[in-house]
Amino acid sequence: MKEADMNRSGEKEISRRTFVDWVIKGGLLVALAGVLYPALSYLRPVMRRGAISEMEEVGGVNDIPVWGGKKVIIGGSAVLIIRTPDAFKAFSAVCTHLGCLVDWDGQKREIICPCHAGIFDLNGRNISGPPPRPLPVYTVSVINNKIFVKV
Amino acid sequence: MWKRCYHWFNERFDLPKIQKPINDQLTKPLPGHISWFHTLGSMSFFLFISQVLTGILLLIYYHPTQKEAFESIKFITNEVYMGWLYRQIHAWGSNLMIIIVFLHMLRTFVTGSYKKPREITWILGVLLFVMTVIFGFTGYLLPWNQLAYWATTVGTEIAGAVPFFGEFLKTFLRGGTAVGGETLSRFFVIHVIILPWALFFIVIFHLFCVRYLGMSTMDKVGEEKKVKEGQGVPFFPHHVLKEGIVLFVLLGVLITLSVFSPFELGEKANPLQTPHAIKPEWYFLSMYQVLKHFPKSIGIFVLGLAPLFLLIWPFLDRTPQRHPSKRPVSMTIGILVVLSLVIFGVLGWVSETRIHVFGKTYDVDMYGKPHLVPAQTPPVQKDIAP
Repeated sequence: MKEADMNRSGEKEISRRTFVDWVIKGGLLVALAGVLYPALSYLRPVMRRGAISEMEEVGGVNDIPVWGGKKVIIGGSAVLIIRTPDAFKAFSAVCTHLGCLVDWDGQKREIICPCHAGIFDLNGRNISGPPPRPLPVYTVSVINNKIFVKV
Repeated sequence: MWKRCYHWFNERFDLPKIQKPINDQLTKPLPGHISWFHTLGSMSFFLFISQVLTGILLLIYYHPTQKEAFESIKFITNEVYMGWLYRQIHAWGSNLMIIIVFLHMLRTFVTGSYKKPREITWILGVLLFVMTVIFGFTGYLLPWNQLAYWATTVGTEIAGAVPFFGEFLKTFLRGGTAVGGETLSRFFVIHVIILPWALFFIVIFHLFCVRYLGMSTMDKVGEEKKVKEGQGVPFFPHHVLKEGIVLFVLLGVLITLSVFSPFELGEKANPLQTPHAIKPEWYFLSMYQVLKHFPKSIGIFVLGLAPLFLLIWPFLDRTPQRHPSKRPVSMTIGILVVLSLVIFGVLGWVSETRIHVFGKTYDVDMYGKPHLVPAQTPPVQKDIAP
């Protein structure tokens, strides 16, 4: 520190020039942050999509035969609906391994992922292959012969 | 006419002064061991230029939206004059570029050119290689066909396995929960704006380093003799001629492949149906195959180490020797890495397919292990979706 920056008692004293210098540098930094923050937030508007809590109609009861399956997209994510003799079941159709869409095999009564031979049972549990977790289960309701799924 | 032009410019700029550094660069002698292998860099650069030019042509008719992307590529392929050729040259160019850039890196590795004082040149080179691969990944989605769609789904899913902020990264890349129109826009912007410009500036910096530091000789670190005027190989015309010959051959290969082995456009992306045994592009196959052997997050960690090691390699290998025969450890590591890339790549290639070897049929599982199929089994019938 230069001698001019010291006062008589030897304490540090900031000169006017240094002070203005810091104000300008600080101001620039704040301005930069002020520009950067909105720019970064701009990149993620779609990430704030809230959960869809409404029941979504996915078709009539007769669209799906017994032991048949159907895939629909609800709120941007794929859902697999399976009809058993006594109920409808709905699972996320996205394989928990690498995100491929699973298929319903009506003959073997298994949910099969086409990518790495992942197999799930009728309750969405991973029974074979690499998938690490069961498929998420969704609630299905049948009202007036129409199928509704809540994701 | 030429004289008058020269005079006109000379009145405004000090032309002899500008000419001098250009002439210096042109006549600069290169070390004597410079060979055909040293043209791989200019080949990469040539391919980049070719990609930019064909890319601009494709951009004229390409629409980067979920609805129109596939149809616009179809239009380019079927309707526009020579559109199919430009698309094929662009597609083949990207594949060749990855090969050539990799070989360029391999040559640098073998001749020990990354050693002091050229560490930064190497680091920039590794960045360029990584960017070339990202170019391939982002460009792959743009035709919006089934393979592209699902390869991107799997690719971004892998990003989602990064610990702590993986889920954020995945959604950020996709611009939503699943691959969709937002993903297409994002990849488009990365592919045609961000990467080309970033690559452009890094290439300039990379070339500046090559020129400023001079081409590497085979001497030990710290004992490099400067190539004097009249020694070694003159850059112009000797080396430039070599590059010119190689570029013509490359152009021939590029166009031949484009004409005789065109890339299929396939089916339009269907977010409700994953094709069977979806696989990434060949240059990701080895990574993809390695990933199958690990739980997701550990696999990501293992794969993340590879580019990191490449980046810091000049600081890990501190031996002064450059000649490959005097660097047994480096060369062994290099050969093992290349071998494992090839082996895992081939395993990835044959995994989940049916192969025929010496009259016998094998079903290859996801790990690349063949299982004999008894001869009398009828061919597997594909289940028809209900």
